[in-house]
Amino acid sequence: MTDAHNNPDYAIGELMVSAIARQMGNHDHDWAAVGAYSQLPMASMKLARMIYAPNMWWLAGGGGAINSTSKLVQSTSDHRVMRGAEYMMNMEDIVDIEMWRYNRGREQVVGVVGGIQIDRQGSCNMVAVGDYENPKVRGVGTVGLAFGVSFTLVYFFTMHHNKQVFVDTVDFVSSVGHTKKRAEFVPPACIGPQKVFTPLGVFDFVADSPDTKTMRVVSLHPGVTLEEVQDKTGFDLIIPDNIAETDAPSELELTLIRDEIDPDGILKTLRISR
Amino acid sequence: MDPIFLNAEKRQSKLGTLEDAAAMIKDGHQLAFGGVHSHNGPMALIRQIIRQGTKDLHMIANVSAGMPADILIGANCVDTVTVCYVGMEHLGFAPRFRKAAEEKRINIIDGDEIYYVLGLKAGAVGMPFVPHPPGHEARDNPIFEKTYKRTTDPYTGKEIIVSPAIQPDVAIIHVPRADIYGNVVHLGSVVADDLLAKASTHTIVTCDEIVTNDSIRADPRRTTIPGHYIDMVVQVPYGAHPLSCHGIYNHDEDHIKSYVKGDIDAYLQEYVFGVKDHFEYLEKFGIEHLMGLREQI
Repeated sequence: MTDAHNNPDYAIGELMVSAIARQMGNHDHDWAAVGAYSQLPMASMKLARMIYAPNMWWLAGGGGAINSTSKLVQSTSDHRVMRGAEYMMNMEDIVDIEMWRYNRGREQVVGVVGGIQIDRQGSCNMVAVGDYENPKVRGVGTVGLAFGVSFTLVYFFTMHHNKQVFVDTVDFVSSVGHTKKRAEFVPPACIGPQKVFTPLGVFDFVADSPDTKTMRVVSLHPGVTLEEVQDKTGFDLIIPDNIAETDAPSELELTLIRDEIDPDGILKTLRISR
Repeated sequence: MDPIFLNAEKRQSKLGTLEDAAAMIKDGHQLAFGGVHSHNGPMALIRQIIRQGTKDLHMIANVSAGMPADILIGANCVDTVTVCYVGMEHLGFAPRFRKAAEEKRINIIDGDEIYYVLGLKAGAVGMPFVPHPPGHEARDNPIFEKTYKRTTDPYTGKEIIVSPAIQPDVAIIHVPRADIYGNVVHLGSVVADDLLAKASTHTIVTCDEIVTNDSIRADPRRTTIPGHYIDMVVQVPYGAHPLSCHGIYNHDEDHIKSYVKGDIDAYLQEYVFGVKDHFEYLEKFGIEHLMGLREQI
């Protein structure tokens, strides 16, 4: 068995980009947003548009570029992201579309986002670790995760998979997962977090009660064991009978990533840890 | 052909200096600033505000605020901060914001993009508050943040969450180009700069280049903020440094990294208090370095 983290043929970031891009194949004709500190999803959107979802529209973070075809840069709001874009949104445009569900329902609005904590039910925290009034770690703020209750659905990505990120219950709910409160308050058209892409594997959410869901293993990246992923997760994952190995990136995907999307090799320098 | 202005000489220039601009910002003001992350922040004016010793600001940090928010907190100019996001994007947490928050030296109002953007929109048009769509009851911001309130939707009788209108005393933005009457041309992301100008009582523009009014009138479709919202225009070449000015120069990533890692007091001494003005600040970097940041789109 090869090891995705020590594979001479591709970087772990390239494998994650491939996995997220393939997921976006479900969203041809939909609308997707990535936030700040988002080199991985930004590359994924570009790859998805090339192969899997040519009709998908996507927003590169706070800079406002729509359908950018620039090479990958570190900051989603760098002006070089404007290259090849079709429109530049201001913040009113961004809020309008991220609350779009309230206007019409013809397409899905998808967020690809991260968090400093993600929990068993898929709630996500960007505000504070520990007690809110006396935080151990003060986070950056809720920012666009507010749209977790207006996006049709959310995919999470993380650069680290450990017990600090994956906790049983988040200390502050910036974006709500599959909790009882979601069932009570959030309109059903907003179906919430669907998958989680981490340096160890891909996960989804399945019902553990009539009102709530828990994270389940879908596939593990090459070289990752079930013991390792459970050991590095702060709650009991749901383990299905069959666990796939995440597909390695194809030759075509790697060629496009390296020659067209990320010629500067930013994906290979990201500090992704298992 | 130019139109004839019989009273052209009476149309007043809004040009001012960095000192004039900073003097408009008083202790205790609600101060908003434009830009996003390491881009388009009015850094030269922020350094001048720090230099003049402004205190107790209620900072309306921009939708994704980085160094401008962090340095004002690090220089002890801030009493309260309305937070949507304060961080350094791929360079990590904003260290002085984080420390001040964890040591409880600043008051924090934990909003989000809806609180901020629709709050400014309400502020711009005089609506008293923002009613939020259903669903936000399931999140913690409206529970822990006390400036969210609940009221009854008179049309449905249901309880709804509301957040306040935001009307900053002064907004400061940095743009590539403006004329002396305050007409603004962005060459990249506008983000919420236009909304800030509409919502704030006063708006100050710093710009890399002053352009002629003729060049504005040559293509009014390129004007991104009309000058009637603007109180003062200050020409400040490299006025966003070390942030980028979209369309003219990139952000100075190495310098921002050194700011994040370094000691804040030493940084302020070297780059704010230890220089007499913006040009002495620029001289510390040198022409070769500054020219090397230039990139058009």
